Amino acid sequence: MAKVRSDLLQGTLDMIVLKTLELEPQHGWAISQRIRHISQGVFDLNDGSLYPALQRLERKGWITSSWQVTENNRRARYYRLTGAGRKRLAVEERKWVRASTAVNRILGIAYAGG
Amino acid sequence: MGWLHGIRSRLRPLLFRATVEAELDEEIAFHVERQAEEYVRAGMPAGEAREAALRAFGRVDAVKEGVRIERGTRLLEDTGRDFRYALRKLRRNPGFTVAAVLTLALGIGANTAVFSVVNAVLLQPLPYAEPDRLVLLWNRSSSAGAQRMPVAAPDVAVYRERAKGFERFGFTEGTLDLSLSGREGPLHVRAGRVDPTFFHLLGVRPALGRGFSGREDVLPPEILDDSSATIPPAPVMLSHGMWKARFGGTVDVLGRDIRLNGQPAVVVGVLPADFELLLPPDVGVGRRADLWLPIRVDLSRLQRVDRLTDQDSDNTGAVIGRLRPGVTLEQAQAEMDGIAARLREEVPEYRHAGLRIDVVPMKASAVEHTRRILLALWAAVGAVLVIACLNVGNLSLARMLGRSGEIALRSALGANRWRLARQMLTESVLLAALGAGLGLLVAGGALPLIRKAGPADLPRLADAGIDGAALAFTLGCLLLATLFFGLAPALSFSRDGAGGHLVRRRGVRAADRHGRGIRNTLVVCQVGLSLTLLITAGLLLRSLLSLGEVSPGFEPRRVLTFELSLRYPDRYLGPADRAAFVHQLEGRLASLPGVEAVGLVGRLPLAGDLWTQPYGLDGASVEEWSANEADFRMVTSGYFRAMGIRLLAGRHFTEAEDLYERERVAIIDERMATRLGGTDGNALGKRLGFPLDGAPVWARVVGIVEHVRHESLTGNGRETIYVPYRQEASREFAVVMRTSGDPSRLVGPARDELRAFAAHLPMYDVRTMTDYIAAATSPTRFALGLIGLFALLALFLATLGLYGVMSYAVRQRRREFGIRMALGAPGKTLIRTVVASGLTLTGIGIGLGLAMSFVGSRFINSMLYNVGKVDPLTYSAVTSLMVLVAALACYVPARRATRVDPAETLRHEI
Repeated sequence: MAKVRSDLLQGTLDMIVLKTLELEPQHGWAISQRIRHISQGVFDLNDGSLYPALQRLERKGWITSSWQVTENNRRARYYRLTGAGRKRLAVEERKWVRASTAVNRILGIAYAGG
Repeated sequence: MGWLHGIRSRLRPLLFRATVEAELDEEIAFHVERQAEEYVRAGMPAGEAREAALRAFGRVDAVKEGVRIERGTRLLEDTGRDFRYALRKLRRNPGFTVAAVLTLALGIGANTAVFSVVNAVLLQPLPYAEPDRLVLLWNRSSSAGAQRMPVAAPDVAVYRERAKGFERFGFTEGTLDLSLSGREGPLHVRAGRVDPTFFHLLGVRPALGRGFSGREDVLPPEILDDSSATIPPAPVMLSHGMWKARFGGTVDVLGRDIRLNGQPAVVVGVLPADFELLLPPDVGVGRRADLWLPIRVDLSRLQRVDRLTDQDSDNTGAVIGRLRPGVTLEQAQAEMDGIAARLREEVPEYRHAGLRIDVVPMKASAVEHTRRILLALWAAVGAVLVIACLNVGNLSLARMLGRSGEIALRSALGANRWRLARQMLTESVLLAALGAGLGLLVAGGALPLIRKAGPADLPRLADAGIDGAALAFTLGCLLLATLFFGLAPALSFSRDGAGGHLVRRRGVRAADRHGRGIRNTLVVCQVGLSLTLLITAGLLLRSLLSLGEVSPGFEPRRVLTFELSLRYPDRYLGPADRAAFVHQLEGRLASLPGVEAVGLVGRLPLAGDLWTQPYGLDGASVEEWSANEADFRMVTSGYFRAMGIRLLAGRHFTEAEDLYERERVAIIDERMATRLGGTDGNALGKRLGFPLDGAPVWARVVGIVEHVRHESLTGNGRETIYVPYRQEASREFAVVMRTSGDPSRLVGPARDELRAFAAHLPMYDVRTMTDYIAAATSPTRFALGLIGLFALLALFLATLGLYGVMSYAVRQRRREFGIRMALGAPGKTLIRTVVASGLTLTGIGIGLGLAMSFVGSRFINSMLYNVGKVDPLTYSAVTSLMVLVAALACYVPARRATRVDPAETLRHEI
């Protein structure tokens, strides 16, 4: 599978981050790990580029952060999805599904024709 | 909630910047460590793992910057930094800062003070319920000119019945002067008289007790029609001031029995402290009455007074109407036009007079006499602020040019132009804010002085204060000022290419040329504006001087006056009784040491009380009289001597005419004499018809006196008829005493004499005639005082501005001057060059100022007296003053430049 370059659309990155936080609060490193694992390394972005995105989501009120102690007894900043973030995620997901379905259909037709 | 969150999330990085940054570092460190552990667990050596983790993270600086941008606090942080920087700059330059802040403080402070006055007097709605729906109704006679006349009480009943566009009407008569009995002797009080629904119409609720009511306070017909019935005591509402001063401000005042002119009355209520009846000054209804009495008769039962035959009736007054919601002024006027037309058909006198009814908004008419003077003041003080801003703009511009090196360096290091311009603006805002803060103090200090100096007919002046509106206005001034003086340097800077400044000589020259253009324009504007103010002040000064030279028609010095009221139900009933009383009183007062002459007059000149009557010349029918209107005065024989009115022909009234009814005689003034055939005595013996004591009479002219300005010093006034007091002895009158020394020293003796003679009569309005003259000129003096002050301030600031510009120009040309002096040019020539260039600017400014004065003088036209709008003397004097001051402002820096050793200058090249 070809690797997707890191210049992902900003909105897409936001959506992915929100999605990784859907189940439980996470710290930054765990989020980046999760994205890498689940996408099986497709999204090859610098770990660092996650942090401006987190800051942006926090400013918009979709996630909040607090300092907590990890299972290894270390201090880390955990991010948690807010109610507004949950709603936002749902909206983004619906939009994505609709758009990707449409794109798939267009591409499917193109393949069939070609 | 969203925005609240936005503010909170932005506030934290602003307030706890260090903590937030530390947390970011910690977060990143944690990430990298955790990643390195992950690599180690996968088998990488510990040393390499950290490297790899860092690599995977990407550029830490870039990430941190990205996070900072996403915090959304960049603009605020920059601004904060700009402010700190600006503060540092200003502190380092105390001379400039102090000059600029003081200049702005004076400009903004004066503006805030004047605004508070304008706001309180002109802009604030009247302190009544829904004041926009309140209108005043006036009578006007189309045959007797545009004079407003009070409305007859029964007409109000007609309005109530017929006018559908009005919710209700209220009626108030002129105030009565009464004597309130008390333990410390009788106290003079002014009683306003209103129909019982009046306060309800205004929406004024009593602070205590009840208001008047149409049900309780109008006497039933059986009492009115039965002359033997006892009339219940009059209900009284006290003004708040009266309640506090005379009744101790206690609640138990309600129901208290008092005596007014010996008649029983009972206190039923107290009006709120801020209540003031705001009517135009010419209504004759006192703004502040001490107490209020209801008119206890249904208005329709009051007789419609025939102005031709009865003047001394109280059945006329001011009418206030409340429009129904949605009814426009035009609709109301149209309706009243119809009612006036019907009244003209029904009432013969109205037909003769050509009755018109005018409907005017209450607010406009209550303050219209102050509008022009206040707007003129506002314009003047606005001009001062503009000059102040121009000055500070000039100063900042010079300073900015001095900093061109620093700015060039910063822009070369990558600061963008907008960012630098923003920083300049920040400095301006800071200056303006400091100026505005100090300006508020200036305004706070100036307002009590203005309140004290304000003319008496400026209503609601006492309300002027630093309130929310004034603060908002100051803030507006601040922003405007910032734009005004801050934009020039910011713009001039951003227009100059940045890099040029680093190439030092050329850059400075280019910037200088550009800056000089702006600075010269600013100076021209300053000169123009201050010239306008100076000319305005000059015109007012000339008016005041002319007013001082106006002969009022009497000799005001050393004259003491006081008023008395003989309104008692059981005394002084007929004219003969009153005349006898007055004659005795005059005799006792005349015997006081230091008294030269004593007389009596119905109404004093310049005291604001008018008394006019229709009249006819020999042969005219009574119906034709209403085409003429003359001032009418009843006087005793001593009046003309006591007041110092010269007799031009004929004789004075005699003592016999003071006491006994004889042939009807009149003395006329020179103006009336002209109408009757000339002042040289031809008018003597002619007959003059006028209403007297309820009937038309004809009187023989026995004397001609000087014309007296009864109404105002500036107006020409009407012709005047004097009749002996005995013939229609008014209940209120003024006693006039000419003294040999200081008139105020006779107040005590006169009061004692009155107390010994008639202890129940309080004397009131004890004043000298010079007091009345001073009051008549007080609006002009008020305007002159303030505008003069503003003009001097403007001149000072403009001079400062010119001086600054010339000093700067001379400093720039020091090298050139050095060379020229080294080559043998005499210092005088150089000085002349500098002064000439400065005077060129002044000349352009003067041209501008003259044009503005020409337009602006229209504002103060109503205050000008005996001086043309384009008064050559004022214009030339002010222009010369301006040139002189400007020349001095140029000469001083020029001379300083030539004093410097040429060799020194050459070596010291900038």
